Amino acid sequence: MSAGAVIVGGHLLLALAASVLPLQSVVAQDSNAILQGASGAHWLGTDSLGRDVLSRTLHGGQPSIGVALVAVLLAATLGFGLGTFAALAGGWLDDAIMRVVDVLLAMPSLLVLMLVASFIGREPVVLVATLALMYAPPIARVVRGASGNVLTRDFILAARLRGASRRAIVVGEVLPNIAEVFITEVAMQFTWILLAFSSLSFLGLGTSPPTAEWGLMISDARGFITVSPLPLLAPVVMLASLVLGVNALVDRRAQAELS
Amino acid sequence: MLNKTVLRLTKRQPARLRRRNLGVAIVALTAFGLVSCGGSASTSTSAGVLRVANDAGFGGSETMDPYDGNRFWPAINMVFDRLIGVDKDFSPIPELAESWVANDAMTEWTLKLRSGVKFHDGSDFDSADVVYSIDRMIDPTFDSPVRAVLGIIDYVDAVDASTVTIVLSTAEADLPVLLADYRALMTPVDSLDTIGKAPVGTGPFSMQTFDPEGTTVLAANPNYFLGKPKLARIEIPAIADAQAATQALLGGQVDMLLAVGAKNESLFSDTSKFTTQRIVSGDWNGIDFQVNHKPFDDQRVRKALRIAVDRQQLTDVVLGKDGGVVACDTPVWSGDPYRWDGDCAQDIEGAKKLLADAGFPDGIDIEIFTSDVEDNFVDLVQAYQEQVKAAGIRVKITMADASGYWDNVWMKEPVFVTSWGQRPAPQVLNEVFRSTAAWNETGLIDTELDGLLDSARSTLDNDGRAKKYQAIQQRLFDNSATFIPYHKTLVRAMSAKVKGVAPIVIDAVRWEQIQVD
Repeated sequence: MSAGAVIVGGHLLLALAASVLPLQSVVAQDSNAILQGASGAHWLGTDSLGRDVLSRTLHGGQPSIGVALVAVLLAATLGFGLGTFAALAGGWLDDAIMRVVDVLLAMPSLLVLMLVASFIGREPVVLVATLALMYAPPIARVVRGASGNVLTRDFILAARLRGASRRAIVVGEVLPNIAEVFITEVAMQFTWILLAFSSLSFLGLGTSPPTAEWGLMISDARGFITVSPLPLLAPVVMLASLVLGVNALVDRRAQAELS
Repeated sequence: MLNKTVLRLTKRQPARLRRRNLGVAIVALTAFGLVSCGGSASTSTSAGVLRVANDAGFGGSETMDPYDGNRFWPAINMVFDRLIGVDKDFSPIPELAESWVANDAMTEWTLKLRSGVKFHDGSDFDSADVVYSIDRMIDPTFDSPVRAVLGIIDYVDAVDASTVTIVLSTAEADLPVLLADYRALMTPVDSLDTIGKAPVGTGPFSMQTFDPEGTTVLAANPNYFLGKPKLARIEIPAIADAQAATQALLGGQVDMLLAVGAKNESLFSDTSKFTTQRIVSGDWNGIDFQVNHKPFDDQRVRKALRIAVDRQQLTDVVLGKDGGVVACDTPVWSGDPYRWDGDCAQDIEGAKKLLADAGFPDGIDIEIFTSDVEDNFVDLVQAYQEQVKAAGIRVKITMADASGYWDNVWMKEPVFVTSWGQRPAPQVLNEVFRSTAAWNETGLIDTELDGLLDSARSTLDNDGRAKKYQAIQQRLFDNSATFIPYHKTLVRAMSAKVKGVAPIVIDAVRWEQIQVD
């Protein structure tokens, strides 16, 4: 098993198991244990309100990974549908869809997310929908490019001649042939979404206190980095390792495919 | 807060390796870059130049008009002077007025003005300026926040160029204390049109560049009547985030922070590069429940929301050990002779009963708006949320943008966090809790309290007046819609090169005596 798989698997396991592990409360405050270093009682120390950093860090993956997973699945569905539709349609409709995708790609995602969170709302459903919309265009563009090549192949012509429906062609012929590039792109967008959501929380526009979420934890702890670095470093390491893990996993998979 | 962080996610890249590098770069930014955000001031200390951070809390709508609600508070006391200032113990001392005397009924106060004082434009300061300034403060059409403090002034009579008589509509034994309000500053006659952006005062510094969202620059007034300032310039860069301001001081972008959290004290006290001062102050934070929103119109709910808290524990969690002094919903600080020290121990059962009596046997859900605009705002609400849980009070915390918090959230949302500086009892009680006050944050109309305030101010006997002010605070604990858990012990941090800052509240700081080596 690759290092990437171990890291990503470990993250998923910890996020799932955090609620059942014998950890301290994520919200319980202790005025006698503010910004304390690592100890037997608090393995990763405490934050500025005396809360257990280990517990908050392990629980912190739940909202981040949860939102990123749902958003990337929606983005993947949307992007795949849009990309293959454009490729199949061809002509002016293909051009029109791709220009719209270009316009969306030109928009700074975080800025759009901040505007949505400020003026529409920061409920999870709103944020997930916006993240999916903002990160679907790159997937659509990759799928469109890859599908275009596949659609000119003889087996597609054969499928058409035998009367296969468009849906059957997309699902049965196109998807298996672009799966590698599609999965790679979706995995990469997962990491971008994860970082975007954490950034939003860091800016105070994502999850609300006292939720344990990595971006919010980094924001809370940044003022005390010199007094007590663990409350900041713990979520940073988790966020960084998950992003690197996904990258390593994708690279490993691509190398295996090539060989 | 939005202006300090740029985390722009680049769109799809052509190669996976490049994407990975970008991902790592973003993470690195998250880890290290974003922890040191700040303004654009220079990073080296210059002799003779003091740089003090401004929180940009009014989002650019700041004005140098000291009577306006959006007054640019970091600078007004550098540019203007009061008639009466405050000493280290907050007692009144001469500033532009040399002396003052009242009639026996305390309804007329005659002030002798200092002679030879000039405004920054070279014109003389005299009694006409006093009449003009106080007329603006009490103008009902302008409705300045200062009017809540000095609204008892009926009119001001210029006896001669250096003497004024202030005639009150009711007796006020503490008028000198009220005139020492940090906004009761003297402005020149007919300055209304220019004072907002190009102010002319008598203060130790004159305005050079007014840029509340960038860097405001003040130059020393060599003719200042209390002596030539030791600084050449004061620069006030905008840093709209308390934690970013802390990092700015650590990084040398500013020279002084008026208050850093007690939890951050060791950042500055453990090194010879900085000096710190601990000041037991009357600065307080509070949570306001606006009574024009249900269920805060019900006194039982209001009281339940306040008595469900273990204030000592909350103070320790929010401010750190010895970070503050517990308050029982009184804005009057521990050093004030009129302070009421009541018993406000946590009473979960009492809170539950009050809520049940008010029709909420299953508890209530409330939403509190807070922000990073000040150090303790978010921590206060998180600690409150945790404390009141046992009483069935379920709190949803909503974060608002720090930039513009005072314009968009404060006194706009049903429940919000507030912050006040130290003020003497007669001033703060009238300014925050009188029904007609412009900054009556909760909108609570309490005519009985208004009557008590009137009665207290016109009581000439000192003991009798103190008892009445204490009774007012006791009434606040029973009826108020403002939860006030503590008064802060301030930690002022500054570069070791900054000298001459006395360990006193900001209202009493003499800016002309400060120097930077």
